Amino acid sequence: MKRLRVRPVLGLAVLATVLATGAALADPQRAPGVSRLSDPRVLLLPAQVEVWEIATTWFGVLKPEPTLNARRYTQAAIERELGHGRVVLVPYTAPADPERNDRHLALLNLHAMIRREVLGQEANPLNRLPSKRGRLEWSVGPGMAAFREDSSGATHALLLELTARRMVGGQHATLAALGSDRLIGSASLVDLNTATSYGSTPSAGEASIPRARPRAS
Amino acid sequence: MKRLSALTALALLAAGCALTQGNYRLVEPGVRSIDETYRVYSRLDWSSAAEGKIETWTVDGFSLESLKFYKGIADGETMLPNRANDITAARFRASMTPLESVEFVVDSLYGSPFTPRSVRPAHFGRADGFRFEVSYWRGDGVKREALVTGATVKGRLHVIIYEGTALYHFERYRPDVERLLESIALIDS
Amino acid sequence: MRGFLVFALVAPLLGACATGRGPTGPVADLRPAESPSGNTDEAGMWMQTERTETRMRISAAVVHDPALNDYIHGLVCRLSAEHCAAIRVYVVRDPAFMASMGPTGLLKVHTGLLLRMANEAQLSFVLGHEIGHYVRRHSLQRWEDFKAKSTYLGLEAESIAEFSRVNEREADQIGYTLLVKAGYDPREAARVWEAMLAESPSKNPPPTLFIGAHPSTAERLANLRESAATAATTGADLRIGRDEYLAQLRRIRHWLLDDEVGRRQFKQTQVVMRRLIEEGDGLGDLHFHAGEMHRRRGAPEDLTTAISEYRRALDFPDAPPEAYRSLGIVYARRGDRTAARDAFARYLEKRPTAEDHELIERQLADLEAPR
Repeated sequence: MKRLRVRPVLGLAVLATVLATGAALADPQRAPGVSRLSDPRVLLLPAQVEVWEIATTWFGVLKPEPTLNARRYTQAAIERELGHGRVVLVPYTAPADPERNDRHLALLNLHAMIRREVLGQEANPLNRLPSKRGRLEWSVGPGMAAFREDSSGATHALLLELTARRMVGGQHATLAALGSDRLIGSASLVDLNTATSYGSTPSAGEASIPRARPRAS
Repeated sequence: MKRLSALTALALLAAGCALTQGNYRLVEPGVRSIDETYRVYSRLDWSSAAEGKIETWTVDGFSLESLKFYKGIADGETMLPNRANDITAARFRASMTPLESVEFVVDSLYGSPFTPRSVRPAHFGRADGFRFEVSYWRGDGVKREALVTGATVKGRLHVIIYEGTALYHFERYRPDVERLLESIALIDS
Repeated sequence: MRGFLVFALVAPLLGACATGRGPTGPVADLRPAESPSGNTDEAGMWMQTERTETRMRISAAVVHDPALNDYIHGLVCRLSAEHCAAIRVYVVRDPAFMASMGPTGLLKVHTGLLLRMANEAQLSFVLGHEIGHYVRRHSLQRWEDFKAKSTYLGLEAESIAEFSRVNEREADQIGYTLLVKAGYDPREAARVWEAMLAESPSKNPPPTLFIGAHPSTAERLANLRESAATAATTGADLRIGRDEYLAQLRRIRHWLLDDEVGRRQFKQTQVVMRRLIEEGDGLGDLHFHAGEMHRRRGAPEDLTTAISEYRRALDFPDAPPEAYRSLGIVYARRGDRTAARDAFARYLEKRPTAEDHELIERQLADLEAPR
């Protein structure tokens, strides 16, 4: 059975996504409307990292240890890549007030939906909406201010999602040949003042890792 | 294995490369005819898709907000074409009062527990119609708001539904949609 | 992607004995307050369920009614005092006849089930069945079985389905045992399935690999009746809990019936309504909804029946004012303008701020205008 080498693959995927989103901060042409901030305070929302073992495309279990390890590793990779220079990292604490907490959850759900919509449009050129006229920015709405209010003045929020899937059971040999072992990821950087979200979506398997883009100068 | 380089795609878009027209058409600001029954005037860019009698417009994406035109549901028809052979599905009757038409739309699309509010008479051009609002959730767990208006014109039911995420998208384009609904003008034939 | 194994009770049960053997050997019962550790599949299932539960809390489908939740949780504790602290009850607004238990003790009771239970004993039997799945770790067993049986040729579907039926029979047995131990009348267990059979006589629910295959309705019903017949029922003060249950249900039954009628499965709804009317509790509301069922189906003979049901409803003190609204709609449809006008006017007297009062006022004005 093939082992999915999660650590190095995740590490490179994280690196790529984080650099890509960092590039959005640096390159105004690619992300019109973003301003160069003097001291960005980036709220690290809990990374949605999961490692699954699946027996068919719709039936599987989460693997707790690889998942927890992957989360720790992802967190460390983000802190290493972003936590120097001007950027201040702000850890996330869920609000104690249940209503406030539910609001955060609803906002995260909304953001996930927007990201899925964006992924769907970017993955297939035929799905791109002519009404967007090539603009990159995707707003998440004024509700995102709740994260700024509840987190001592963070200016941005980073949301990272990575899912690794590994086939098990007798179908593994057949389905793996069709490329069912997958690592799928996306990252979004949300400007909490304008509620604009900048994102990128590398997708990698074991054999193909996205090349990290250099920062625009 | 798909290798997607999103940054390449983004760079292309930013550089303004002409892309092949995909699955959706651009609806530019101006007057547009719907089903040769009425016209509307819009000030926004929309992307549109049509499937049978339902034409759907969106700005940001169909799961985020959409403006749907249900064109001319005839006597005995279901609102959704994929329920056409379902004997339990609600069917339109040309003799329905606006009150019954509201119930028909709710039965067809929402159902208990999503109950309409602010149900009132409304002009659909010069036809007497109805309008209401409803909040609802789909399986994705995101709350949505919908604004529904419609009327029977020449024996067929025309319905326009604007909906979007409650947290953001619904309110974002609501003023534009209200102006569009006010602009409805029946086409004399 | 869903990897969440859910045991859903969608059809009647069977009481034959079965042991809880997984494919690799016996699986020990879950101990009270136990949670799995390490990198086990079970720990993974728990992690998934926790995530689902968090999302569910903000979902509109969950009914936030503390009194109802406490009541149902109380029944769970009566059945299994040692496990009830770990079981969280969620009432889900959905007219399906369904209850489900996740591996972490996440218990979902759908409102369609609550509508169909006649008393505490019947609901407790269903809850006991779900507790059986939880304690016997059936989610884990089925996952292990599924993995073992998915070969490169495909899934051994029938074998998996049979294993699922073994689990269902086991849960039935446990549900029955818990019911009897808690002092309930064991004959009520069979009545749950009699009702189900009356509603869907010709089909068993289609098995899916999520919900699992169920033994046939008739098989399950026969075994339960047999068990109850041999149980000691004479001389014992057996609990049924009709009044207590109806007291809880009365507060919410109006919209449970709205949801049921809204399904537009009129044959099944008719069976449910007939049984509820026989029970005799809340007849005004019941006859109103019987009228709604006929009105929404809308065949010419249905309209006549609808009118007589609404009129019957209005004989009872608990008749909802909406009966007048519906009468107005039907009379208008049949061209009886005077009767329609009177009905709408009566409705607006009682519900001047109804959500649709403006539209009704417009219709009333049209009806009052000279032709």
